[in-house]
Amino acid sequence: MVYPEPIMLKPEALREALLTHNYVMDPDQALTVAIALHLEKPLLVEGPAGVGKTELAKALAKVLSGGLIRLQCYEGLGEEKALYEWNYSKQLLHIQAERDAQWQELATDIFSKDYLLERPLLRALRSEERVVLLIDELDRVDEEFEAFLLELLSDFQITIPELGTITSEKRPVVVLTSNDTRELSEALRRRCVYLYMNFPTREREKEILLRKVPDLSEKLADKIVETVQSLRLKDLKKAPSVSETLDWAQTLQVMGIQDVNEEVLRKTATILLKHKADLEQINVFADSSGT
Amino acid sequence: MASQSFALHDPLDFFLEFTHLLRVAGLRVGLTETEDAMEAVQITSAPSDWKTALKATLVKRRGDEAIFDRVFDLYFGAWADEQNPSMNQSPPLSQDTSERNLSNAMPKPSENKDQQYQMAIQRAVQFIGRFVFNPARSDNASNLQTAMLLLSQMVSKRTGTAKSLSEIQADLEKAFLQSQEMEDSPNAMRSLVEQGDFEEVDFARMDPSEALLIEEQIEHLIEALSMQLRRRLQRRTRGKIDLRRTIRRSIQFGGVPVRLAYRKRRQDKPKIFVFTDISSSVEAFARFFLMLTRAFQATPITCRSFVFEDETMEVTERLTQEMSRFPRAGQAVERVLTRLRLQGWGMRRSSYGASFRQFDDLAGSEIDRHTTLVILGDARNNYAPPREQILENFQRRAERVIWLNPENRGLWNGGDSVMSTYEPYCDHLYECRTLKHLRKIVDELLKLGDRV
Repeated sequence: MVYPEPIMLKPEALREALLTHNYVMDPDQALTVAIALHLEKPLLVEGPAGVGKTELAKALAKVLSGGLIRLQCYEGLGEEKALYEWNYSKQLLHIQAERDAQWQELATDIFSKDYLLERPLLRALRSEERVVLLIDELDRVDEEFEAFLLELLSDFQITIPELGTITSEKRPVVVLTSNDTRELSEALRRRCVYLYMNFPTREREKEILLRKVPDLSEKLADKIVETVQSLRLKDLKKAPSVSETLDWAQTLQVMGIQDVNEEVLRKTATILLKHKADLEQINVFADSSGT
Repeated sequence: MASQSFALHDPLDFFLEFTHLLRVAGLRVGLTETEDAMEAVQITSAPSDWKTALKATLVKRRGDEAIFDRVFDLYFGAWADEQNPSMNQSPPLSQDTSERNLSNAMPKPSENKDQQYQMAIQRAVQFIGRFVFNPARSDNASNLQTAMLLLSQMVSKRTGTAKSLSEIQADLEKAFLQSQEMEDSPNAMRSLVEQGDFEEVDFARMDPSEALLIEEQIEHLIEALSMQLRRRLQRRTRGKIDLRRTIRRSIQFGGVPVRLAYRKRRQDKPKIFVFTDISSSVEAFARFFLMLTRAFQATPITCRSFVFEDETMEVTERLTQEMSRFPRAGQAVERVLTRLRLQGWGMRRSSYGASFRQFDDLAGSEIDRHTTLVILGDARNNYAPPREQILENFQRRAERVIWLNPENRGLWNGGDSVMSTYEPYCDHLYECRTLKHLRKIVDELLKLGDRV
């Protein structure tokens, strides 16, 4: 079997390429991603919700121009929803339609690719392009499934009893994300290149804002970033994420607001803060600082 | 010069050494990671990127990042900065292959051997002090030995000293003990001698470093308990086949029952009520047990927590609130307890009888045959009426009553302890004052998942 060329991308080139798709990244982070690509290992991204973990996979897919296949994890996700499933109803119809057929040919018929429902993992394996496979919020899945993934991620092949072994022709680039609600197993971690994404620095967040919200004035961007960053330092239930910063900036722009003050913050706080307790805290804070 | 140092220190040597150091410092680094790291370094363009490249391949969880950073800085600081202070900050000169990078980053033997030898020893001691000898870790003894040996080898190689390995090791040990003595000697020395048996440390007599250790173990316990409970409870949701719905479903497949329908088993949710004394004599244990209640949060088990001294108060909501905000249960419990202390709790004399009565008013009517009642306390009633008939009442209605007494069994019933008065109304009565005991209790709590 011929192995495809690994992706050789200089970290700086990767960063530039991601930038053209409006994804802003620190050089260090770009290097980590480049290493994952180079080693052909899954990239495990952890960090608070909304720092752009999923976005990274999407941007990466655009850079590598192979398309994105996404598997959203949830509790109870099993092989039949993640890998493949036989289309029972269709098989049954087939059986009904050919009542007099011999068992032998019937069996080869109904267990052919026509009756196979491909789920994201199988689709990623069988893709002829090099796709980015995003396995989102892996921490939600049961340990059994995690163990199953482990096997898949190390060999990039899977055996379906009726069809034989399917090996990927072009190894997908795998991005795993986790919100850290559950500790992932040591074995899985060891197979990955690890990237921890925290909230961006002031400069980077401003850069993101200016790139993603066209026509935003630099002055307002500064104000927004400053407010959001100071909110994150507070003892909140859920700190505002980058995507919420973006939403807020867009809102302010639509409202035609050019300056952020407490009045504005109080009126629009629901875009940044999603917990009642947090909102109350901000209101108290805004009141007590006296305007 | 460059070629000479290269001959001395093979790149492979460097990687093995560095990863070995990380391992000693507590990271899990295997051969695959080492290979990856070597590969990753190939695609860096400047030595200043090394740290990131090595980190990306050798660090697998966030908590390990800080350790890595410190080991890295110390390692390169220790061996490289005398001659190559710019290693971390700026890429030196123009370098084309990673091998050249490597040889440049490699430490070089210097002229003044003795001075460098002393310095190397000091750095090694620093390393041990910061990473290896950590009171919050349980495997100190063997780790310490490995580290001593490894660092001795490194000192020997780096400084080119004439001393033998065992001599270096002796110097190192001496220097290390000195450094520990200068800080807090009794503590360090003591834990040096008796590492590992914090499992049997009495909660009432632990020192802060032991408390930390135990707390860490409890966090693990919480994780394990929660997971196993969830798993056990999950299995039970599917009930018998529902014939009526199966037939109806089969119609769309021409009468073939392709998909079976199951009756959902009605689940009687287990409940656990925790009723804990928080007066100063048993506070440490109460804290640990309240931490354990976190394990129930992700399960269908209803858990309510009550604290008492001479009166009873429910803290379920406060606890849940704090626990949702703090990743560590210990922090959350600490906050709840601090608040209680501010409100004057923690200095009153416990009265079991009065507290039972109040507990009865608060939640007594909700105790039913699915309820496990866990009572924590030393049963020191300060000579007040024990009112054991209330407990008897609880026991009759509850599934189980478990009493955990954090006092040494030999002291029960002495003085104002009325353990024997309550004992007949407890289904289980355990002595619980060490981590070992607590583990046994956790096994008992697992049975919550086995019911129905």
